[in-house]
Amino acid sequence: MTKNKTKRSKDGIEPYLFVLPFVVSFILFFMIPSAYSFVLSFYKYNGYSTATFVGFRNYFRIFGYWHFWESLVNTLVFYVGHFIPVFVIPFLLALALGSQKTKFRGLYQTLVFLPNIVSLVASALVFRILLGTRSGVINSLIGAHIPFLEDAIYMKMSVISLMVWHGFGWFFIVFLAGLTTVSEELKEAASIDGAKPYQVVLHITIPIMKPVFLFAIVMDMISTLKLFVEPQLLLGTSSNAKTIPQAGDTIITLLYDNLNNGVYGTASAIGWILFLIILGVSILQFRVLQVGED
Amino acid sequence: MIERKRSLSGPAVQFALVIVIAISFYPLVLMAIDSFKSTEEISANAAGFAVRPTLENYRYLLVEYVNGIFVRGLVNSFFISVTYTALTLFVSALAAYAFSKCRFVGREVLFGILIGTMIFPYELTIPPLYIMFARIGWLNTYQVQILPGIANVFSLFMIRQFMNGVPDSLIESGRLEGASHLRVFSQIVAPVCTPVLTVVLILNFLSKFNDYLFPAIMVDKSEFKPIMTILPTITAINDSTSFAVPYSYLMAGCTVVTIPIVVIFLIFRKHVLDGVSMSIAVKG
Repeated sequence: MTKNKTKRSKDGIEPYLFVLPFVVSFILFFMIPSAYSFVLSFYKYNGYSTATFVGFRNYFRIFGYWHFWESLVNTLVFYVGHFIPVFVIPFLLALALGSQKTKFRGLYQTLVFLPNIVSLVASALVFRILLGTRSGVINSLIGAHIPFLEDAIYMKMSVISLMVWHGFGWFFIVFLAGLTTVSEELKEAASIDGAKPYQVVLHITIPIMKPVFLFAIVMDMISTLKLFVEPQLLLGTSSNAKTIPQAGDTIITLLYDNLNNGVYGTASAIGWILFLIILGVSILQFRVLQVGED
Repeated sequence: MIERKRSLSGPAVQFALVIVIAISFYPLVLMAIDSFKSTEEISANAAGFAVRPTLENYRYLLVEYVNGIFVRGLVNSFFISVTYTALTLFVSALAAYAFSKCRFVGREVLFGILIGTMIFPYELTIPPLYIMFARIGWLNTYQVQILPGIANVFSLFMIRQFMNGVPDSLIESGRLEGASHLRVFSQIVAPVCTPVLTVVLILNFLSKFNDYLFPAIMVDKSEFKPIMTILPTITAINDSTSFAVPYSYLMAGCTVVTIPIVVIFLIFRKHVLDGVSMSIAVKG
C-alpha cells in the first residue's frame, strides 16, 4: 500500500484537469449564485433600478407575513399527513416481502416503484380528474360533490394523496434494500432462542435499520420542505390560475411568486430561510435518532 | 415449522401487494383511457371505458395545436435531457476518477467542500441565476436548461464510491505501460464502471426530463420550453366558447409524455432500483 502510494505520488497536472470541468461548472452555477443569493437577501432589488441595502428587513418582512407562516403550517400538515402511509405501510410490506421466497420479488419491486418515475406534472393532472368536484372519479363513484380541490382542508388531503401515491414506491425500495443489511443468522439465532417474530422485528430488525430510517426520514423531510409541483399543478391550472391561493402554498411557492413579481431580495431571503430550516431539521433529526445509539 | 408459517402468510402478503399495485396503476390506466374520450365524455363518465373512443385528442395535440408546439416540446425535452445527462456523466465521472484514483494536493479538502455543499438546497440559487441569466441573455435558451446542475455532487459521490472498489492494480498496470490517466480512465476504468455510470445516467435523465420548477422560471418562450411546462398550459384553442379545462387533451398529453418514461424505466428497471438503494450509501 505504502509502496503504491510513493510510486503514484506524482500524478502531475492531469488530476487537476480532470476535476476542472466539474469545479468550474460548480463555481459558476452553484457557488457564485449561492453567494450572490446571500448578498441579495439583504438588498431590495427589482431587477432594473439600483439595489438598496436594507439589512435584515427582507427577513423581518417574511417573518411578519402571515402567508409565510401559513406555508410553513401547510408543509407541516403535508408532512404529518403523508408520514404514516409512506413510512409504516411500505416498511411492513417490505418486511413481509423480505421474509417470502417468491420468484415475483423483482416484478413486485418494479410495479410498486412505477408511480415514482411518472412525472409529477402528469400525475397532478390525472389526480385532478380523480378528485374533481363535479365529475371527478371519486365523487362519481360515491355520488357526492366533495370539494377535494376547492376546500382548504380537502385540498391538503388531495395534495397528501398525491404525495403518497407518488412516493410510496421509493420508500418500499429503500426499506427492502435496508432489510438486506439485517443478517439472516442473527434473526434465526433469535428465533431459536425463543423470540417471537414481532420481537425479532422490534429488537433486531428495527435497531439495525436505524441508519436507513434516518436516511429516509431526512430525505423525505427535505423533499417535503421543497414541495412545489404537487400543490401548484393539482390545485391550480393555467386556465383558472390558482383560484384559491394559499391553502396549499409551500415555501417554494412563496419563492416562486416573489421571483415572478420581481422581488428578488425577498425571494433570495426565502431561499436562505429554507436552508436554515433544512439545516435545523437535519441536525434535530440526527440528534433525536442518534439518542440511544449507545 | 418456519417454512410453514411463511407459506401461510404468503397469500395475505401477495394480496396486499396486489392492492398496492392496483392503486399504483389505476391513475395511469385512467389517464390512458380518458385520453381516448372527448372532454364532454370525461365530465359525464370519467371512470368508465370510452363509449365512443376517439384519436382526436392525439391528432389535435400532435398536429393541430399551436404550430406543433407539443411535438416541439417533446423534442426539446429529449434534446435537453440527453445533452444534460451526457455532460453530467462526463464531468462527474472524470472528476470522480481524479478523486478516487489520482493523488494531488488539496484532494481531500476539495472533496470535503463539495460534499459539505450538499446541505444547501439548489433552489437557493434560482433567484440569482434568474438575474444573471437575464443579464447575459440566456433566458429562453437551451443552454440555460442544460448547463446549470451538470456539476452534480450526488452523481460524483456515487461514481467515486464505485471507483474506490476498482482495484488500484488495474490502474497501476496501465500506468506502468506508460498510459496517461486519461487513457486509463477511458479504456480501463470507465468500462469497469458501466453499472454505476448507467445508474447515474438514468437517474439524471429521468429527473431532468420530469423537471418543472427550473424551466417554469427560466423559459417562457414556447419554442424553447420542455414538454413539462407546455403540458399544463394546454388549452382548447379550437373551441373558444369553452372555458372548461380541456381534460381530454391533457390526458392525451400526459399519456404521450408518460409512455417513453415508462418504457425507459422498464428497460433500465434494475439500474433505477439499484440507484435508489445506492443512494442510501451516499447520503446515509
